[in-house]
Amino acid sequence: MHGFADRLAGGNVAVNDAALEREFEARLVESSTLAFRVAYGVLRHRQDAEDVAQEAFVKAYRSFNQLRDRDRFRAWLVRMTWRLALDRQRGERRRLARESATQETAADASEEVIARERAALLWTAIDSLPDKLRIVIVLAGIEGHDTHDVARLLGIPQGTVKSRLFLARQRLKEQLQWTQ
Amino acid sequence: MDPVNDAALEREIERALAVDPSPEFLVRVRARIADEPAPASRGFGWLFAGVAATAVAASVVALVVLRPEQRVEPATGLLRSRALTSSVVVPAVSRGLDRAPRTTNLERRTANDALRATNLERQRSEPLFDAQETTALQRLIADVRDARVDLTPLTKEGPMPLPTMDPLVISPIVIEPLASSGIEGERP
Repeated sequence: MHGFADRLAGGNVAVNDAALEREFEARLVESSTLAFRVAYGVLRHRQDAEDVAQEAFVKAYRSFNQLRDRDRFRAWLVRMTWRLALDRQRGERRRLARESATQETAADASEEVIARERAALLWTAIDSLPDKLRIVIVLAGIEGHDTHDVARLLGIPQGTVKSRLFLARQRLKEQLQWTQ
Repeated sequence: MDPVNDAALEREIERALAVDPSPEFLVRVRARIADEPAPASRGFGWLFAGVAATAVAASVVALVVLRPEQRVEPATGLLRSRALTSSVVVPAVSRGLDRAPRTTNLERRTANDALRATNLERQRSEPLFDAQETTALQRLIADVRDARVDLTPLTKEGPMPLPTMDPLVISPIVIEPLASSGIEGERP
């Protein structure tokens, strides 16, 4: 395919390809944490999340011609990562070893245990949400995304994000029965 | 909704998701992508899209141009067989498998007009006599002209005598005038 492209457009193709590579590298650097955290929000396993994020980047690279716009790229990447993570989670439900996100932040042993329990309860509650609510609550919890950011990433109206976020929080609170 | 609870929930979720990928992650992704063939450049993509669009447009035009002819030519047989089978055919199980072209009202009307025109033309060009009779008549005329057949005995015999008939008597028709009943326009 490359040879044919070269014959058609001569040296311009090589220049375009180099530009493509540079653009993709920039997207990779700025979106790698986002993709990883989206996958981690579903899988809660560092290695699995990295594998899924990597797979999403490979797919993004293959379709990069249609994804050169930054917003479009990030939105596509989030949705693809989410789908791949869900697929992997459904395929590996028997996995027992789950990492606790609060593992590294707890100050002492007792606090660590409490934090782990809380995190486990939280993730169980998040997992029980329908996918539409679940992705909204996870994206809103990543990198301080506001409703506008989440709406852009998911390609849905901001009002829809707000209502879904409200519903998701209601359900989580009902399940967790938190009293501050 | 309690804002304290919401804030606590948000904090908890953010803390649960505040996990970074390992430093090797980016290196592994770059290495994996290096194995991939480079994505086709935009110019080639546009060229390909252009060629594909042209091909699609050409096939659509070809379909539109050729379709009416296919309908009209076998009009008689095709339409009659459709009419006969239409009461028997059960609705298709899968629409996707139904390859037969559906006819709209307009298409059907066009086909009927074409059928009518074809029949009219055929009626105009159809011979009024049987082909064998025509040939026999032509041969007889040619034979008389070339004196191969002599018709004088027929003319010598004279006209065939007619049977005598009684004169037909028709009684004259009498029309009685209408009796006036007073005011015009009123029933008697």
